[in-house]
Amino acid sequence: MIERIESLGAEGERVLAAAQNASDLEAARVRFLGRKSELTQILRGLKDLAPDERARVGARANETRARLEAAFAATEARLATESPGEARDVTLPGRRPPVGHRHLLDSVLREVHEIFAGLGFSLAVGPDVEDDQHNFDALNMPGDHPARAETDTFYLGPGVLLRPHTSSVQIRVMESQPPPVRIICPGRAYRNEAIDATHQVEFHQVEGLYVDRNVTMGDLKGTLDYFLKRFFGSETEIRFAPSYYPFVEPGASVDIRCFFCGGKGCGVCGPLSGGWLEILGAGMVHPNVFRSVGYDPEVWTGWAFGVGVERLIMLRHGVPDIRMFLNNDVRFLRQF
Amino acid sequence: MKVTWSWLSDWTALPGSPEALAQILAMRGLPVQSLERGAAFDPMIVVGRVLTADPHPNADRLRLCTVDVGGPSRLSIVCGASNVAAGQRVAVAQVGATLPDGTKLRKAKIRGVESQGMICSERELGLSEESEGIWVLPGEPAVGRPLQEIAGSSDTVLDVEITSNRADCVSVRGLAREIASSLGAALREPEPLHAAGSGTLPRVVVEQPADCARYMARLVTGLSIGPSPAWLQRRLEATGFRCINNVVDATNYVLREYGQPIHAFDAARIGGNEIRVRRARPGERLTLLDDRDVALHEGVQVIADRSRPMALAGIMGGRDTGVSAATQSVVLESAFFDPRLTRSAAASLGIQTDASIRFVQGVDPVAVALALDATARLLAEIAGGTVAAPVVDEWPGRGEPAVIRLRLGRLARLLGMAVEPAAATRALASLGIEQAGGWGGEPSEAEGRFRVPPHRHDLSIEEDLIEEVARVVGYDAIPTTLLPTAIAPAADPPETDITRRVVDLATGLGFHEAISHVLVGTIPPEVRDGVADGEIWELQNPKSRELRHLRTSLLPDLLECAARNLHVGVGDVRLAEVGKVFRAVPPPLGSERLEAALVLAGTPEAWDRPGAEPDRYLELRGAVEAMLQALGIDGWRTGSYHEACFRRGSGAELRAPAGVLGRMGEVAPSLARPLGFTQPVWAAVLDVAAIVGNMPSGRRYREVPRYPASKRDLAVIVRSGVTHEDLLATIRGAGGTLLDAAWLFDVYAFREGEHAGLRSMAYALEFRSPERTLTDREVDEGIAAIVRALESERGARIRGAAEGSRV
Repeated sequence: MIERIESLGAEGERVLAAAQNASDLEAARVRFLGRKSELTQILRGLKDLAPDERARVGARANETRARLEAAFAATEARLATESPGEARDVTLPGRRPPVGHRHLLDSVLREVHEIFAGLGFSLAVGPDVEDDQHNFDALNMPGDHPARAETDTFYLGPGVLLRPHTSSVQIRVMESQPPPVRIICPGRAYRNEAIDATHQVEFHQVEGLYVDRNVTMGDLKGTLDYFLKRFFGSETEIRFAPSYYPFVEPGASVDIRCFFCGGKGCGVCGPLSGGWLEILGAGMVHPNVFRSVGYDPEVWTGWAFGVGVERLIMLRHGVPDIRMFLNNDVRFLRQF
Repeated sequence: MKVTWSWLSDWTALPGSPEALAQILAMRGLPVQSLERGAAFDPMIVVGRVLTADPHPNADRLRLCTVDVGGPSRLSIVCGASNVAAGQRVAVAQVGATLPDGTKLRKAKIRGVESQGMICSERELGLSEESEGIWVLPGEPAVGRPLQEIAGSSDTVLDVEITSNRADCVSVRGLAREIASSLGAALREPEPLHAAGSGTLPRVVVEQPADCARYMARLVTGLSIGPSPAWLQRRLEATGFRCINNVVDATNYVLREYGQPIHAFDAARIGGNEIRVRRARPGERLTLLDDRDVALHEGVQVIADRSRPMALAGIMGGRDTGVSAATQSVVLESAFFDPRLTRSAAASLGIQTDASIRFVQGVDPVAVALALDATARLLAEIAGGTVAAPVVDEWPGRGEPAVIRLRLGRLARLLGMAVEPAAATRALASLGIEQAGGWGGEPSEAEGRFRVPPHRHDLSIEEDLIEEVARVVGYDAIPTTLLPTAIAPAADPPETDITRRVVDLATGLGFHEAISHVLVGTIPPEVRDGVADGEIWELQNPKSRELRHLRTSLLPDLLECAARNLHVGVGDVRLAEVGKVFRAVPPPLGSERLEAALVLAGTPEAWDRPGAEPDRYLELRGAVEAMLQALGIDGWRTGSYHEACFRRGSGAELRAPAGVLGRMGEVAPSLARPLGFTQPVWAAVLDVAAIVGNMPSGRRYREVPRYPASKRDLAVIVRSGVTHEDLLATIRGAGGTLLDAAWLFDVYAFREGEHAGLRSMAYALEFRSPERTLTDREVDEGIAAIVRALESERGARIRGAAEGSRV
């Protein structure tokens, strides 16, 4: 009984505080203080209780009634002094200041940087206009390597070119400092390719390089496993398969389990992939690359990887056409 | 490279399905790009001959045909195709046959007439997506013969992607070796050739051993030139070759099987019974198999007889000594031509062939003999030839195979995984890499020596062997570990930090970040900003005219993006970009500079911005000012900027103590109109280096005011040539140390009346002392000094001064 009185008191005070006008107030009065209100009923029924019970309940009920009467008076006073607000359509849209969106490429480049920064990688940058020494020679790409051909790389002059990969930044960083090195190099790369929904002559890459005394291919797997799980979700499965890039040995291509079909094979990963999507290329730094920058390959080991940023985004966000990235259609930009 | 399932199965055991094979190859670094399943036809589908094709008695569009399928009785078949005609050879599905799509054929009555089978189209046979009418079979195949025998193939074709280092896998044998290694199976080599025929070979002279490490020849006599058998034609065609005749086909077959180009000379046409492998002499010419006549030079190696060149070594044969219908005997050539010489010779002649590609990659010098024998054996089998017993084998380049050291400690250090000596030996042996002697040293530091097999020109260093071990053991077996050591991280490059700050400020101010093209077409003269023609980077091999120069300014492409957005109906276009711009000086790599650009076009949404500043110049300017303020840059002033990039009179340059920050204004109509702008478009271009140079190097706390300020308003009337910044400078100069802040709050231009042509400029002034509350007298004196200065320095007339509230 006592609890019921307490809860009636609290409820009554709440309803009165929320009252907005005279009719709210009257309804509250009838409900909590009126002749038929529960509290009045309790007070009337006191005579039927045992004497000691009657004293306890009666005291509490009267106390509550007094409290509610005071609250009623206060609310009445509040409503009397407060002028009603201007009648307005509360559903009108707000006046919105312009809101700009960061480009999806920028956001993802920052995200990739943050993931690697958490592993102790720092950021390095290099020129887009490169020489063939940093871009090919030092990367163990012999003079007749097909990537050097004008059909693959854009040339600006003899031995001067637009970098077809960000791997050249590896060389510039290693030339400029002794080991250990732990960097990622995001940037634009250029290839003389036929343009279609998945190929653009300008695209973005992130290069990673880690050199220390005992860096292993296991660490490469661990690092990329961590990165890809952070990027695509913790369920992501990763596979390493052999591949060939002149600047690494052993070389690997890194696949993730296709998340469109769950690995059954589909139009995205292809019927022959076994349900794997190729994501990036990686491997252990070739000793000739170390020699070209004056690192002793017997002392230092290291790995490198390179990943196409647009492909990461297209897979994760379902962007269908790589050309959208540099077109800057606001209707695309503001989706992210 | 294309290869067929059955061809691989000649060489090794295969897994259960082509899909499983694709997985095995992928895990060896040889991914399968496509897979084409063979068409298998039910034996009840046979070749038929249409005897009659008459109109159906009850239907206009149908025909009633009588067809001979080789049996005792003729079939009566109703056919709906308009191209059916008497005399044709067609594919007939007899009652009981199952079509490739699973339909089982039954006897049926069509419009009251019984049809005892079906004349098939290519689509119904699963040979093409669409077809018009029935398939009329080419040639005159025997009536009654199962279609499977003439058009079917039970073979599956796999197209394998082979990385440039694995030229040895551009052959059936090479791929089979990888598969066998993966499955722990053996590579099935054919039995040695038994050659017992008679005949003499020409004398072979290799003039320069460095140009030709090995030259072999065999004689095959008694040939009858004709088409190859169907099984061989099918394999060649499935793997991308065109069939010519049995001799040429045999050489192509061996090329695909062993990766070894073979050339066949008509033995009767070799003059002087001599073959000389030599450099071409100046003035010599040769007419090639494809009828091209080429002038030779000393950089080209030829195969000559006693008097004249017969073939370009490793590139292409000559017409005169090639195989013709009349050829009876051939001299087969199998050789190892120097890769570099072959490459430079092919390049100098502008000829690239399957053969030259293989020689440039480097063939297997040991397989030179195997492939020669395989060709001879094949000619005996399919062209009725007899292989003569003599064989020529000039092998001046024969040497010991290179030996590579493998330290298992090094392997473990690189892979992060230990491999037992015996396991490493086994793994390498499965690829034909044999151990030269046993393992030395402690087990964990064990050191072994391995011979490079002749087919693997890509193996030269220890790391190559480590990769081979890892490939065989499987990359899956390498543990997944995380970085074991700590490296103190270096600071990120300052340009990255400032780029992000500028982008974030711009997006906060309502601009969408754009990332546009570095490669642009013609750079309009308006945005050159003093960059000379020769200082603009131009690609030597551009993809198109539109992708030819490296941008010297972000503006042109950003404006194009803005125009496109307006065009598709975006009302308020606000774009910002921070990116590199390029100049071709100084040599060799030129210079790269970060630029920031803001573009404002269109009109704001009326609801969101009621009474919005109609002057978008001020809106853009406000954004730039807010950005600079947030970066801590003050003390800059504006000057006029007269470059063609902005509409005359609208250009402004933002000048700061440590260099020009940038410029802004209304984009010149000559630039904007061609892009489709019909309304003004506003742009600001900032130099990121100048921003950095003008930023405070580290900010220190300044005391927040403790005493109240006295605020006064002051309105002056000035000539229109007097600028806000002029007035502000005068106010600041005269206000002394007690003037804490001054800002403009109203401008009014008189169009008529006594002040016509003049402007009223109203300023709020705040006086404050850090030490005490100022008296009214002090403030009045300050105002008086400012008024005097404005009158004398700027010719201003005072319109009114009012007391503001204390704040």
